[in-house]
Amino acid sequence: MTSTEEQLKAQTHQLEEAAKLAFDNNEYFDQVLNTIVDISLSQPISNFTIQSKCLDFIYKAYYLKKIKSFDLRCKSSTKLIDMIARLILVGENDEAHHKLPKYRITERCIEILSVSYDLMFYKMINEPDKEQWSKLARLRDFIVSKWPSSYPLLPYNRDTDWSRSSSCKNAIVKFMGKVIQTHLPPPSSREKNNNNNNIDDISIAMVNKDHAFLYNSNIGTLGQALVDKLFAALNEEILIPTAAFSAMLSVLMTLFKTRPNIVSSKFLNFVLGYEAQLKRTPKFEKDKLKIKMNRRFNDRLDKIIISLLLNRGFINKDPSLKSRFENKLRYLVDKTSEQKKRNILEDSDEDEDEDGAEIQRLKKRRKLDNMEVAEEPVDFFNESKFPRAHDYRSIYSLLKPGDALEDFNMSSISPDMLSNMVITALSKVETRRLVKALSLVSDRYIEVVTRDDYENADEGEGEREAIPTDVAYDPTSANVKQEIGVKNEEDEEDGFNEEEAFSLPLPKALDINQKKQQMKAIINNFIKLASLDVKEQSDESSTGNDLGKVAISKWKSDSWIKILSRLVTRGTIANEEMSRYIREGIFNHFQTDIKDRLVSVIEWLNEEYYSETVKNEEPTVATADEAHNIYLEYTGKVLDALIPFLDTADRKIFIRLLSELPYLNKDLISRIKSICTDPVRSKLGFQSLLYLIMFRPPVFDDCISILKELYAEANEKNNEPLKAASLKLLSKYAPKEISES
Amino acid sequence: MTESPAPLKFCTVCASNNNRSMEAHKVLQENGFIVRSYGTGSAVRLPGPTIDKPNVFPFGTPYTKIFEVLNSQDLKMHKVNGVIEMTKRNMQIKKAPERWPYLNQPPQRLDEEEHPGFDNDLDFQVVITCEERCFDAVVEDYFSRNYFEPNDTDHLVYCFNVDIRDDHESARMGGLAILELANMLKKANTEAAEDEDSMPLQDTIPDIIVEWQRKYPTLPILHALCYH
Repeated sequence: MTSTEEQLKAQTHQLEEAAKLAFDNNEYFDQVLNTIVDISLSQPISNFTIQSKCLDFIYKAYYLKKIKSFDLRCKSSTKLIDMIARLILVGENDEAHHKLPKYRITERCIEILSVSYDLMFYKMINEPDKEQWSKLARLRDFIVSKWPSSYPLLPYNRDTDWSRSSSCKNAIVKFMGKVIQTHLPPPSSREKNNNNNNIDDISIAMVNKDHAFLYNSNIGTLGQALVDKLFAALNEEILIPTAAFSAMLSVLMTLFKTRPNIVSSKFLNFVLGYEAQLKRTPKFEKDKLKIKMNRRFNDRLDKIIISLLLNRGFINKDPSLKSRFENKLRYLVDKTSEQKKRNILEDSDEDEDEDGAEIQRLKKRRKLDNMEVAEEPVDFFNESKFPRAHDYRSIYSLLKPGDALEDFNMSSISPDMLSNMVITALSKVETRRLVKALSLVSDRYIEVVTRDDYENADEGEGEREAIPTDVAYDPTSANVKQEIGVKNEEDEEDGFNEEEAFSLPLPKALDINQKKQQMKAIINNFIKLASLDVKEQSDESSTGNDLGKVAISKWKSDSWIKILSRLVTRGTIANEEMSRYIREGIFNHFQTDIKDRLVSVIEWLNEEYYSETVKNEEPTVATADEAHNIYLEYTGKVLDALIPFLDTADRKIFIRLLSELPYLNKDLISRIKSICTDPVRSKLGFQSLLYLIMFRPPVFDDCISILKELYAEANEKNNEPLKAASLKLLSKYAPKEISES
Repeated sequence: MTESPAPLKFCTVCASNNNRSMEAHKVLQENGFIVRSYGTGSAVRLPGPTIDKPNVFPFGTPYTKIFEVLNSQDLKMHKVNGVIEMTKRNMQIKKAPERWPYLNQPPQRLDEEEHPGFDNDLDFQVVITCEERCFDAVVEDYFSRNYFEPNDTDHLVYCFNVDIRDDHESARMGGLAILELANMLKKANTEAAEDEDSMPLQDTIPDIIVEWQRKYPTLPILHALCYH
């Protein structure tokens, strides 16, 4: 045995001896308690052996009531506040960094507090100590806020956490019961009889109006809030595990006696309305037998409570209520005898399928009733914001620990397939779900990063101090601090200074030619993509899927121009020279085979127009032409490049171009004149004008004006076919113009 | 914090504290468990000369006395259905059948000295009843205590019901099944106390129940957590 072990053994022996002395001779209790509290405060929290021994003594004295005298326990009760607070009241940082005390210590602390809270309250009535009360209030609020989580275990998700850490969860619910009882008064009739001295029912009713801090509305508000919290949890849609359900009913039975004025009606309504079959199966719980048994057990508890209420005559005063309870009991008796006839392992869905239509109807009705209290749905098994280990898997995994998928090596999938999988997943995932997943990962990243900082900063402490106490002293911490100091010196010798924030050097700026060179490579890459065969996929973007709104959810043959045109109009908006360079690149590419690339041209010009519209939304720009000069310039260039090569067979594509260009002015339309005057392609020209007259009313006047010019030109040159064709359209769409001329 | 856990104390319960609870009591005791037993009925009822004339004894009647009465009836049936053997067995375990210590009812049990290892009549962490109405009676009694003794609700009890038919052979089989349940609980309790990283005992109960039920599908189980 080492000297440390021997020392520890001697210390625990001393503690046991002291405890024995206090229990055998109660007059020493106060003195022994003082010593034990001091020992606990002076020892590091991590000394679990000593801390457990100290807690054991207090547990026996208060929880097991080995100290029978109320006065003795009450008098010393407030001494426990510092000790318990130090053991379990952790700061946010400690909590986030897993610096939680051992499970058993937490459980013991909560149990002790649940049997001493009213004693402390009572002591505060007669001997007000605002500072101690504030500490106690902080401790109380911290513990209560943890219910019904998996505290002190790290969380997974709300559903699963209902069935984790049952001991602490139930200890907290019992503590909540004690706080409710203390903070809310008994019924007024009993209050008078109590004569303010009933130590069996300590409550706010005993506090005088002139009390320094206890006589305030916050006390009652908190009590009521806890009642509401308890019933809100009971009325949740989820099927509560039997352990938690039992403990909640037990607490309510006690409150039904001590605070009937507060809980009676809610409690009776709950018992009457409870139906385990209507409760939602916890997400991720796949064992049907477990669920089925959970339902049966909870219903059984409900039946037993109803039977108790009837047998003891608690509801005799209200005949109609009594008859409702009798009906419910009959229903439950019949139901359980039906269940008994069946083998529990067979028809695992029986409970869910039983009376299917009726259950569904009830479910629907209750769902409507409870719409406003709907819980945030659970999406992932592991929704913990804290990674369980310091590795990427722990940061990214949202799976249940031990899930076979966790061991799957994603790097064995080819990048193509992987990117397809990712794109498919992204396009199908519900936005809210994706956001939640990303937030969890992001939180974990932050946690890991800050944990590193925190641990470095905290390393020398060796001790967590949630509440500073004068007597708290850790003899080992000084040595540790010294060691850290030495380590830092060594680090400095290596030329590394931790205090200096490291930042990446700025990249070297490119000159315009280098930029152009890079841009040329980018353009060429995109143009290369244009020539690739892309397997078209059906667009399956579902309604309500916000990701479906993105420009490219699947790679298509025209995706490259979407990206490149946006690079021109939005990506390089601040660099006109560069955007002009890209435009020329795009235009040159189209120019080589403009007829076959017209679809992409339309896409590009539309983007140009849209971008300029957005950019010039301010009313300062006088005309549409002024607002869209880039669009007009390149549309003009496109038409100039296209028109000489059109023939009559290109009617469809040319009219499509004219119909899909977002904006036309007279200058652009007048380029059609050259087709009209060409005897071979004249028909194409007039058909285009006819289309514009009929389907683009904004350019009607421009078209008529061009027809008039053509008519005049034909007259002048005695070009009869041109004259006839112009006249034909003019006489139909602008007969007045002909008569005037 | 590695330490030997305090051993779980058990209580077996049936209607008359004669057949099923006593068989389970015997099996658990033989396997080193700290155990006691009760009956939840109003009296001890055993088969009599005819079906409508059962032998009725108040709780607390020594098994030796019961044995004498049964023996004096000299009925073949008592030998065939095993009641005589059952009573002989009970005589080896404790002095008399005891009634569940219902709140506010006069005790019908043996002196506490007869139960070494127990501090009082409710000093156990596990109750295993052998019939649903016994389970209901026990759990209802605990809820009554929560109501009538609001300041004494700090002791936790795991209540189970293993539904066993009230005959000699079923009791024997049921006793073995209860032993297995007790062993599973003991193992989980030990692991929880010895290894801080293992699951707390309460968290393991649902899995224990499911595993046990799959093994004994003909003995439907019930469970509740009670405080007194």
